[in-house]
Amino acid sequence: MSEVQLFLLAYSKNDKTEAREIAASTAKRLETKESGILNVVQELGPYLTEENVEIRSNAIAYLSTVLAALPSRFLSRQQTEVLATWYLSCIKDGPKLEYAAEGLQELLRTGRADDALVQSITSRLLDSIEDLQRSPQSDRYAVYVLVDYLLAVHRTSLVDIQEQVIPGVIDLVSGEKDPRNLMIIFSFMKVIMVEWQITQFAEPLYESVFCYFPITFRPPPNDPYKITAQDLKERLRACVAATGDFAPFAIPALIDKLDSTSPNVKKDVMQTISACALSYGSRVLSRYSIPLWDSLKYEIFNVQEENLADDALNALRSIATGLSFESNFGETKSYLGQYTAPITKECNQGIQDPQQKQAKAASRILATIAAAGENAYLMVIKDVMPPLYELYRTADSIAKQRGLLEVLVELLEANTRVWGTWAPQQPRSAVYNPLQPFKEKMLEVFSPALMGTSKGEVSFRIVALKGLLQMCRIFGFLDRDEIGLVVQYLNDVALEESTGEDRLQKEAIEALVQISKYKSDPILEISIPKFMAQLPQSADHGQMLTYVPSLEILAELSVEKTIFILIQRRLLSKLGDILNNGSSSEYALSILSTLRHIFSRPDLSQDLSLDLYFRMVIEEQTRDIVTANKPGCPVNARQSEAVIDAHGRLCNLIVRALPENKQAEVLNQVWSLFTTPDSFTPVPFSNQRSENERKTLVLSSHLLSGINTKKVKLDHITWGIESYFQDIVRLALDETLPGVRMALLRTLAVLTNKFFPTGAALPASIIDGPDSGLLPGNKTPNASRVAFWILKGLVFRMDTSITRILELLVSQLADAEYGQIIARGFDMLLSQDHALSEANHAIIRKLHKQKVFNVCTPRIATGFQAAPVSARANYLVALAGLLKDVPSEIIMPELETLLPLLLRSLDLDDPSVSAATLDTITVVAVQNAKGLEGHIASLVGRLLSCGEVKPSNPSTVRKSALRCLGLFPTRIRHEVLLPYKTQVMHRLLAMLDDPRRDVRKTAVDCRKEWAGMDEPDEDDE
Amino acid sequence: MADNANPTILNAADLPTRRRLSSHSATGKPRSFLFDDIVPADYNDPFATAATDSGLSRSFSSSSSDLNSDSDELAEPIDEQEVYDLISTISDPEHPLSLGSLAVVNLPDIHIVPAAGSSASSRMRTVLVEITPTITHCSLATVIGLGVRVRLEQALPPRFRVDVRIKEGTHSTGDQVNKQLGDKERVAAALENGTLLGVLRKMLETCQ
Repeated sequence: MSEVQLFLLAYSKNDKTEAREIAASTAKRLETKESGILNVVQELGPYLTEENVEIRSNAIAYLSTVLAALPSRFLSRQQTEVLATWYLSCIKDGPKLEYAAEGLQELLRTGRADDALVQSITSRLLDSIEDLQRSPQSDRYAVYVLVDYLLAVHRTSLVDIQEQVIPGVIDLVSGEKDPRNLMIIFSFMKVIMVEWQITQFAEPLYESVFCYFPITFRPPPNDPYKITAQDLKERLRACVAATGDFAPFAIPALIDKLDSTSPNVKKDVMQTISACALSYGSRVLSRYSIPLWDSLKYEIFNVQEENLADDALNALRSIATGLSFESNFGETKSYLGQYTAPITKECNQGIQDPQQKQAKAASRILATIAAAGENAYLMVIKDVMPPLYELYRTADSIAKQRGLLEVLVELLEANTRVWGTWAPQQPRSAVYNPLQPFKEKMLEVFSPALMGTSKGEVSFRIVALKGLLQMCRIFGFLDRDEIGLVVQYLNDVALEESTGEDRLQKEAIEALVQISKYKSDPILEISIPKFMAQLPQSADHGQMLTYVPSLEILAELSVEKTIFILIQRRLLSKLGDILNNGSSSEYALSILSTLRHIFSRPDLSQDLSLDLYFRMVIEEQTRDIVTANKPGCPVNARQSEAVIDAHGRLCNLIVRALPENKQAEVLNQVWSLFTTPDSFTPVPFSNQRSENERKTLVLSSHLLSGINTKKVKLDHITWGIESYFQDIVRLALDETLPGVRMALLRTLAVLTNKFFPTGAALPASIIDGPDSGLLPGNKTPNASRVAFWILKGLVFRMDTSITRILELLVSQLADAEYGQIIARGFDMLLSQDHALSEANHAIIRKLHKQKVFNVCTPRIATGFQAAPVSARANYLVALAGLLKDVPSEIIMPELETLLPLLLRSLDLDDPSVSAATLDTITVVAVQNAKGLEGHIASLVGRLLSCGEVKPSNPSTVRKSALRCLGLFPTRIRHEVLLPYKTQVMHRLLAMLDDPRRDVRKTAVDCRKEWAGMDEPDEDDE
Repeated sequence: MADNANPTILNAADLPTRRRLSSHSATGKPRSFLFDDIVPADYNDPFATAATDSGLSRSFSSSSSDLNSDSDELAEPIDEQEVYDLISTISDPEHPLSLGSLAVVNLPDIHIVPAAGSSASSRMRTVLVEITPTITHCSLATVIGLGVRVRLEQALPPRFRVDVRIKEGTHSTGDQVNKQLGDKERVAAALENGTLLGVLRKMLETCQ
């Protein structure tokens, strides 16, 4: 068989790979001159006259595939010409244009075609295709690809015959509807529009694309081509905006289409106007700038949808930008000036009564256009500022003045967008800022508005404050002294006693923080000394109002590094003073809380002063606290449990951030707490310790929690972990002070979580030792505390021992005496705890909640069935406590088993169980409401009962129940709910009269949701 | 079609809220974020609730933590501000703005009084809301009044009788509108009208 025959065989079997190989071998022979291209064509001859279309076109494909395998420029000009003629005749013959068009493209690549040949091929091509739209999509597509290729590669050859090409192409594409084809058509049409001088063809070219505007295409579901309406819109937009020659047709048409009732079309129109404005050129655009303004303003002044107004504003700004490109020297008014003059005039009118709806729109328009560039800003400012100032001067009410200041604030904000802020790496303009001459006047307006107005005028003063802040932000605008003055105002405002709402104070603090990002000097030199000076030398109990406001401000200000450093130094030294001068523990506690707030920086571990913090806070202050709690010491603030705890938490923050060597040092001092052996004996060494000394265990707990045991080597530790563990268990079992007991329990959890090596089995004494608390028989509350906290540490790291311990605990739920305490324990097992957090380097395995859930819930479910009635509540309490911390995706698969239990637990009339259960059900309702559908009757009844006023339903429970019930109509199929609508609507009436306001509110919302469900045939309601 | 294309708008932050009514320093202690994460030391100690004293045998209903502490919870009676909150977020039928920000409903124009003819100890109340149309010839005043009325009837307990009127002197045909709003049968008939119901539904959609 000849290669042609082989190829046709493979092709008809649709084996493209083999076909390609055959063609490649033909090509090889051509390359080595064993055969000539004309021979190949001759061989094809008989197939080309075949009746069968399939065979005819496959024969064309053979030649094309051979050409594709040849190197480029392999064929001579003559051969190229001959083959081109051949292909063109195939195209003329149709059908299956696809193969011929592809082949012609291969030929142009492989052959040698000079300008004349390309021109002749192109013009003959355009002549020979008639009525392309009657061919199938794939044929049309191939022809468009060929045209695209010609325009991309041979554009310069074709430019001489563009008068023939352009009408030909327009003719070719007219009537096309397929989105795939349109994508490529828009693409090559844009090439013509942009690259060639098309003035004489502007209208037909414009018509050829604009007839598709607006695009209303909606892709079919699962469209394999993934062409979206947005893709088409963008390509079409690029065509419409391609050349200013289109302006006379496009802009009137776009203005016309702005009247469309469809928001999507309006959006498209305005975005297209925006694109045109940026590309048509100032001269052309200026002819239409006023009519465009006249139509676009309607969208802003009569805003229906916010995002449409945004698009209209964008278009207005683009016009201003487009008009700024070229200036027209010699004419009386610049293009831009002709545009802005009517706008500023109309907007000046609009802001006459600044409280009215249109004033907002006017002010947005002014700010948007001003932000278009230096010239635009200048134009707006020179027209707007003088009347604005005059209006302000003569305004007869504060409300009016406020409206005017708001306009000014927007203009200031627009100024930063052109001239930039002090923030580094911002685009800034080097041109003179036209706001400069108004600076003094603006300060004279804003300053008294903020500082000299009655304190009740909060909103007015806030606007003034924002104005001053914007002025401080503009790059190079205010000088050092002026910014200093503003900072002084802000300091005073921040410290002002609030008049019931603290919006103004918050704004002032926020403004100081903003300024500190640009200019820290005035904050360091003026603000911090001012706020520190507000802190009294000493303070008694109940005087919090004298220092807390300043502390809050200092805490908020501590953002920038330099400011943080200064504030923490000043506060630490202040803390030392007041701990020694007999001030109340409240005062010390407040400062410690502030310090903790400012030390909670994510970058603390990179702080170069960590050594200093270690020495000052961890070492010295800890030692001082321990010393102050020794027997015989007089009562002092360092003995306060709250102060000790707050100090411990502060230390913990720093310990986390310390490098390994320092952490190791802390670890060895965990019990001795930086004291010498002769001055203090660590508490675990003795049971005969005073309350005050035992309080130092709180510090030990916080220090220990922060250690990163993945980094610090435990071999060098100077105390025995296992024996200390036993000591701590013993201390915890006996401890009566709640705070100290909690610290001991956390210590146990931290020890089991990260101080015993993972992977290895735990020392037997931990689980089975006489004091471990895990064994039945030891039935004091403290024993179960110990048991659950040890377990918690193990659960978080998912130790292999937990299955056995959990099974044991679940089995004890049936215990008549002890089951109740055990049941409560499940509440804390999975909950977050600051000692066992990621930040504290705890070992937390991802699947630990899943594990506990998988072990416990089936056992709780079966245990519940088997338990005596008196003990059943214990199972429900345990379940509620556990589920509240389990992510819903773990719960969902077991919903069928759990729901009956959850419903029963709502019957217990136990507030904490109800609260936890309602949370769980609410999560289910949000995420997987379908799972509830089978239980609607019992759920609705119980939720309504939980919403009733009775002692077992505190307001939190009533509120959760009603919130959950209110979710149903938004999540569950209405036909399932409708049978209960009458009942719900009726019983909710009572809840509208709940004594608590927030419950009533929830009842109103819930009732609204249920009322909104339509009955198929409404009779009552 | 718009009656008043350029109404005066109040700043949302300046509308009356409960936050502003209550003074902060009643307790003498500032509410500070600095203490947000300081919790009592026995927080997260569920055992404390089950095991205080020797209370192992106490029943569950009395065993709970501070959740229960509001059994002596203070009653917060329904007041004018609460009524205002219910209706101020209704949307105006022609602007995408709330009745509160358009000053159509105003706190001083809401009055809760014991219902006429009820005894002194009765809990029956009448709530009177006077609405102020944005312009005196506002053709939508009736619809707005109806919206307020429907909202309050849905959201207040049955012991409240709802009375919605046009504030005197703010509307050219105020008396007629009042007659319509006060006539139960005409209100009921209006609510049968599908188009009107659609408008009302859209107005009440934004209620918060």
